[in-house]
Amino acid sequence: MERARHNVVAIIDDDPAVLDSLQFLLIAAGYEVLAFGSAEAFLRADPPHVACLVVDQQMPDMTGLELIERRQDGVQATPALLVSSALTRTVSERAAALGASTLAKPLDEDDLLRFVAEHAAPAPST
Amino acid sequence: MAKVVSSGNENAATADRVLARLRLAAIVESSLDAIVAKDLNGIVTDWNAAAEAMLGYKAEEIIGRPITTIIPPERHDEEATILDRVRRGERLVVFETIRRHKNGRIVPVALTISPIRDDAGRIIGVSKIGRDLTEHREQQRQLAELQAELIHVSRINDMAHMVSALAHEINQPLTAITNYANGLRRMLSAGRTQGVEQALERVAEQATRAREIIQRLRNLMQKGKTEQRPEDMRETIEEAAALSRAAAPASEPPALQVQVDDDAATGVIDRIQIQQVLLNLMRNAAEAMQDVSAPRLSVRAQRDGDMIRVSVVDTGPGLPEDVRARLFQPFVTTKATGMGVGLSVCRTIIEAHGGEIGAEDASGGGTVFRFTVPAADASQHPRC
Ligand SMILES: Nc1ncnc2c1ncn2[C@@H]1O[C@H](COP(=O)(O)OP(=O)(O)OP(=O)(O)O)[C@@H](O)[C@H]1O
Ligand SMILES: [Mg+2]
Repeated sequence: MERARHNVVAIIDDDPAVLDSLQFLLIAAGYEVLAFGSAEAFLRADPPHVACLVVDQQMPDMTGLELIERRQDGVQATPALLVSSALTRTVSERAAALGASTLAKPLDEDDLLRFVAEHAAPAPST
Repeated sequence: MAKVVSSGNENAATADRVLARLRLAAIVESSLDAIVAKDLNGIVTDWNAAAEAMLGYKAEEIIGRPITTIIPPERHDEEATILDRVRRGERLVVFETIRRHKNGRIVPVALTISPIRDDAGRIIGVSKIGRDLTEHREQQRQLAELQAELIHVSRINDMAHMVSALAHEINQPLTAITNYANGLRRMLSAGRTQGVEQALERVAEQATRAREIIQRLRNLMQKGKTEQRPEDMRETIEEAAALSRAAAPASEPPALQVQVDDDAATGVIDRIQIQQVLLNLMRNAAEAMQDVSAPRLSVRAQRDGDMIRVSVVDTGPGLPEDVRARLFQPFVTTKATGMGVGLSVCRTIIEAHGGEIGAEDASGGGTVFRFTVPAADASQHPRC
């Protein structure tokens, strides 16, 4: 039980379709997933035991980078994957400086799951 | 003796009249405008060289024949009305009409018509001075063509500005489709089928979403002929906003508010062209607000008499002083990569709709651009 809760993957994207599809894929891959429609919603919920984050960069109120930066200020940094359909050099470099990985949309499944598998273990199948 | 003197005077007067007549004839003959006279029965009595050049008949061919020879049948009524007006003593009638060349070609002409009187002041005929408008019409047509071309080119320019933004817009549904497809493959290979149908439905939805974005883009690229008809203002504005939203240069797109009043819901517009105007104004606003924190953009449609007034308000730095007076002239720009055609194209489009466009400082700082287009139910709202 305790082990499973540490393996939650939190996903944050303001596009409902992208969010739902990402949740669908990660669940199909065997992970436990928490989905949030904005950086604020995620910060407000402040879910414990999050193994890693998959965050969209282009969101209206707070960008993915800003969110990752906020999380860096916390006690311990959560590994994060920043996703974007317009990955510029500047964004990638800033992400790297914050210790986050980046991935272009549409997401390559292997790259995505490799990142998630590094930080979270699939939930025990029911 | 006295008789001789008197006779000499008479001779001199006659000679003067003859000279005057000859001078007049020379002027008429050398005029670049066609000059034609006819009697009150509509029979041609005079015909100068320019008339021959314009309509193909030689003077000797047409003098003595009815003027209707050169008037297309559907314009015979018009001729009768004009004759009536001249008979009633109207001094000058100017109008544009068409005539028929001897070879059958229709010639657009501007006519000036006036009565001919005898020494006693009675009207005995009608003179017509005609100017060939063919070249003028051709110039007008070319001008309209050039304008259409400029509108099209500027639209392509808008598209170029939006390419990366639109790539992002289309990437979103593609991302969703890719994720669903990969998830579905995993489920099916694990022998699980619960939720498969629902996921497939979502895939179809997202494919539709991508197709709609492409369709919108394709519509905008189209050259097609312009057509003004009743269109939903809210949809028109929101579609344009969707196209421009992600086009914001900064990572932070301006917060957008759209408000359409109930009595401004339907405008008689060329939808694509008005979207082009909106895109230009929204792009200008986004560009102006590039370095502004918390940029806001609001678009409002309100009733104004027979018209709908659309305001696009930004919270940018305001109009640069040196462009204010020449804002809507072509090639006026303060941007390193600007062509300066955006606003001039906006004006061309709005004027083709019978509306007006202008800019002023917004009350809370920033700039407001306003334009008007006809409302669909104009007659029910008399301007007061
Ligand atoms: N909302 C605005 N706020 C401040 N200045 C503006 C605004 N809209 C237009 N301007 C000024 O008016 C100029 C002319 O605008 P216009 O759209 O015609 O050309 P452009 O934007 O410079 O170039 P183009 O539209 O061809 O890419 C701009 O360069 C800018 O200086
Ligand atoms: Mg512009």
